[in-house]
Amino acid sequence: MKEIMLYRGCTIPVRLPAYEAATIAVLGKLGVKVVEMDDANCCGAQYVESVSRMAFAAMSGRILALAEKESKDILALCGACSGSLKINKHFLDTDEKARKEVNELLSEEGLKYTGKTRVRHLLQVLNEDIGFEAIEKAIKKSYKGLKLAAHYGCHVTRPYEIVQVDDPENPTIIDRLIEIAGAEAVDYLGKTRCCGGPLLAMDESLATHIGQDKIRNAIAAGAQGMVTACVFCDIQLTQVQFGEDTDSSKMIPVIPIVQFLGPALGIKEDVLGIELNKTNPDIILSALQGAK
Amino acid sequence: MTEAETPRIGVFICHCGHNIAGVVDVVAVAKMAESLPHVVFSTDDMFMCADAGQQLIRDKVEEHGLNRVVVASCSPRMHEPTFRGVVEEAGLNRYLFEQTNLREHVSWCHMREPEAATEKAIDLVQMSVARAAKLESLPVKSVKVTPRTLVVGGGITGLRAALDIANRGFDVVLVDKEPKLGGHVAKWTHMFTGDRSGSEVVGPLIKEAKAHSRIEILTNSSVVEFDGYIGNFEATIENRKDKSRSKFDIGTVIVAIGFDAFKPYGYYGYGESPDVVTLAELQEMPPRDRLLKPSDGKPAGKIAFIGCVGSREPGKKGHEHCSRHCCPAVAKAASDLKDRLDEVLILYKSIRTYGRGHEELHRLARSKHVIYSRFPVDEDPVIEVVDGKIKMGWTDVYADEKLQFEPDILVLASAMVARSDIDETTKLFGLTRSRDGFFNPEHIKLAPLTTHTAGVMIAGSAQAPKNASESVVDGSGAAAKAVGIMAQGEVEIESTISRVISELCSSCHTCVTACPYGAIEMDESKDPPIAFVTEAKCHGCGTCAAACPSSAIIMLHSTDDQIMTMVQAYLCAPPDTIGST
Amino acid sequence: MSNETHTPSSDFAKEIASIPGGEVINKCIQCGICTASCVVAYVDDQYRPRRLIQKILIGKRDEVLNSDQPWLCMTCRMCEERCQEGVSPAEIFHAVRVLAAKEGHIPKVFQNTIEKVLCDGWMLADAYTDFNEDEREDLGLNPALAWNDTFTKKVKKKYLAGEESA
Repeated sequence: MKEIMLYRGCTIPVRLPAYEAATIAVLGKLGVKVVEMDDANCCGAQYVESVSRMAFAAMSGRILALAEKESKDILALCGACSGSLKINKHFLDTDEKARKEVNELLSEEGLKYTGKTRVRHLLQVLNEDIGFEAIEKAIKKSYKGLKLAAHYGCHVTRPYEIVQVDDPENPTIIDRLIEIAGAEAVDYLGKTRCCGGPLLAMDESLATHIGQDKIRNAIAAGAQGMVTACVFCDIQLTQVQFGEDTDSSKMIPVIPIVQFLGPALGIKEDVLGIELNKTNPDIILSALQGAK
Repeated sequence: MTEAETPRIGVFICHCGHNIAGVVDVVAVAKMAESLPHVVFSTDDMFMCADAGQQLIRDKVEEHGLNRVVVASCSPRMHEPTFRGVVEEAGLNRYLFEQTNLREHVSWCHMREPEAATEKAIDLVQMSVARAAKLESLPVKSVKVTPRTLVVGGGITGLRAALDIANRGFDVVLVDKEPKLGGHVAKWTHMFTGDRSGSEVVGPLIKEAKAHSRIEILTNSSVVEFDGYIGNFEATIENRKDKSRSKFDIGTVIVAIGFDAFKPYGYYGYGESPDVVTLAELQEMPPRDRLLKPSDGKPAGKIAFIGCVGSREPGKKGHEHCSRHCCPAVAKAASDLKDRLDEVLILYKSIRTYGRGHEELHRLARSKHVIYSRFPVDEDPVIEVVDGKIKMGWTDVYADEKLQFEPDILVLASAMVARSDIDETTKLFGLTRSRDGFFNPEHIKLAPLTTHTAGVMIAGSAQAPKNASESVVDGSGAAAKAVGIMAQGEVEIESTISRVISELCSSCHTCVTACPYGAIEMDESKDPPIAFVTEAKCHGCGTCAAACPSSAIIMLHSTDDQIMTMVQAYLCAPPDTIGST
Repeated sequence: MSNETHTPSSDFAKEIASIPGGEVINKCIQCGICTASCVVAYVDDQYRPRRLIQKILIGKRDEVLNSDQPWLCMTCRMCEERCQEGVSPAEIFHAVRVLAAKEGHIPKVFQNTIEKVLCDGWMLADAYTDFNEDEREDLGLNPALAWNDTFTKKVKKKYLAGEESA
């Protein structure tokens, strides 16, 4: 079985462990074994990134070196981590001076980054390493009569020249997976817009406004739920629906791609951790038919 | 002059594929035409303009001894020359041909009313047939063309035109009122794109022109008299210094007198300090390692440019247009100078770096940290000269900031305007100008370098504001037009012109005043003087005929008789033809 | 708009251009497509990436470095995706942040989070409770997260020693 090393990032363990569990289960079913990374550190996204280029490169660089030590590629679930690791990989691959400087720091632990390790976002693993054909074959039950909106996340898809995950203006991987599982993928206004998450630190109300706007647009297009591919986006789009001024009757379930695919692949709900979801996924799960 | 013979008219109704036949019942129209007076043959055909259709005309002319041909088809603007040619080949005078427009005037505009359209088609054909019976052959005349071009203006445009014509084997008389050739370009230190100076660019042209055996150069001179018509002009050129005059026989003329660089007194402190200069004046400064202030000769450290000075001012005649050349010129000047200066600012309303290599100049300027600052359309920068210092204040639209600056030199990209003496040139050559002051071309899109005076071309910045490269294109284009006329050795003139019936002329001179082309004058050799048409100048517009109170002027091919018969054919159609009301 | 009049200077733009991320700031032609695409500009009518870049280009150093605006960018990079000239306002604002932080202008929340991350090795050490541990076990995941904080302390010492203040 192909193996890939998981970089979970800061948020998953505390806010969304189900995403990790579901990923391991789904990828395992599809022939990819997820192994743990030991002794990791924060990738430096957003915060360290804003104050020092080299500090940022060093933090992400160490993660790359840890994976390289085990000769494994990195699986990133959080969009921001995926973006950080890819951008820093690009930086260290192309800037010899920076690479030397980081490796000097790492050498104290016996680590070194030479460029062998690749950074893969979950969507890349599903699309490129596993492939739609294999996923389609593995589908055991289909969804029926279900309309879903896909949210990709900014750091997952941009800047395209470096991350190379999906078309930045018209991404389709999640949409295709939705369709393979039998549901209908709806297009909606502002599909490629940010969820607002990164703005939470500076201005929570603006960030909430942005997230709520996204949900509103999806509902207006007829979507009954939203499928995500970044842990930060998932948390943001979930919590903006719980504000004081929100209408709970207008809530839609927000669900990571792996929790959506899992049941269709015949994986039990408790393995996927769906009972921990804050938004109610019933409307999605009840659309799951018998054998396809 | 009337034809003694009886008209024998052939009528050909064209289907034009589905274009006419899809709406008009062409078969019925052709059938109806058979019964019209003087029609000896009538038919319909798929495409009259195709080889088969043309052959049909030739065959039927011979077979039926036709002496008039009516083709009811598309607009004469499409194929009148084609059919006239066919008729001529068949042995008839080309003016014995009449074309009826059943396409643009019937099937294309009455698409949803086929019955009414067919009725209209019938009416039109009746009218054409009636007119055809009244048509007369007209002589086809040509005039010889003198193989010599007069090029007025020895700047880059005139030089290019002169060389092109001379290299093609024709003579050129190149006139310029300045002592030296090269116009504005010769005086400029920085051209764009590329890094050569103006004199480096135009120098080789001047050298080549001076050495060319076919080019006669008269500097310090201007054209003082000009008369004649296409192929046969006579120009008198006077030397402004010694007042000596020379006369030349000229076949074609190219007017390339260039532009004036507007001196913007009253704008932005111009005239209040020697350090406020126009872009043209900046270009004329001798090249040095350091840029020096005109006021005290000290090196400048920071400069500013302001765009659109005296251009794009709605409501101000002669200053409403965009002067086109300035945005790239300013970008180039700014990048060239930034290397030697601490700060360069460009204040703009728009950035119109439209042409080849221009956007690259814009980017180059920015990459050198030239600061571009946009000011509002309705709030010009305020410039005050205080104690010899230039104080600028304006609002930067994009930063939303009030800014101030004290440049050592302020450069105003002022307008390209028509030359101050353009009035004289306009009258001399029978040209017209538009509201922006520049010469009018014959057709703004399809004939930009010719004018309504046949044989006289316009080129360069006199035709419209443009940069040097574009002016050269004009020069070559106008040269090609001139050569096109001269290479044939002769040129056909209009046969459909006006003619004076001398016995009826009452010497009132009304026609002379009315003619827009100066084609009619009084023949003083007669007593009393009789109006006389110079056929080569006449465009057949009909103004003289309409103005004449004595009905002494007729329009060939549009005589009163020919027109009235069409009206009668429509209103008083013979009772036994279809379509009469 | 401030009421004082500013004298334009290209020095600040040159300074930004020397910081990674700010290199191509002079390619900006002020077309506005970044602002039109910006989600923050959509919800906050004071936030205008184009305006901020022009302020840099004309040299309003103090205003820009003291402003909150560069910190409001979500780094979603839609502006970068759409810019026709190859400029990334997101990256330019990164460069501004680096310079601002160096001079002690850094929003508290950023300052605090950076401290935390470099000290603990990751961002949410304080928030990881027994509850979360149990959750992980129930899901069949390893409750021991094994974050490394030695390296991040090294990084702090080497690159961010001067950031203690403010």
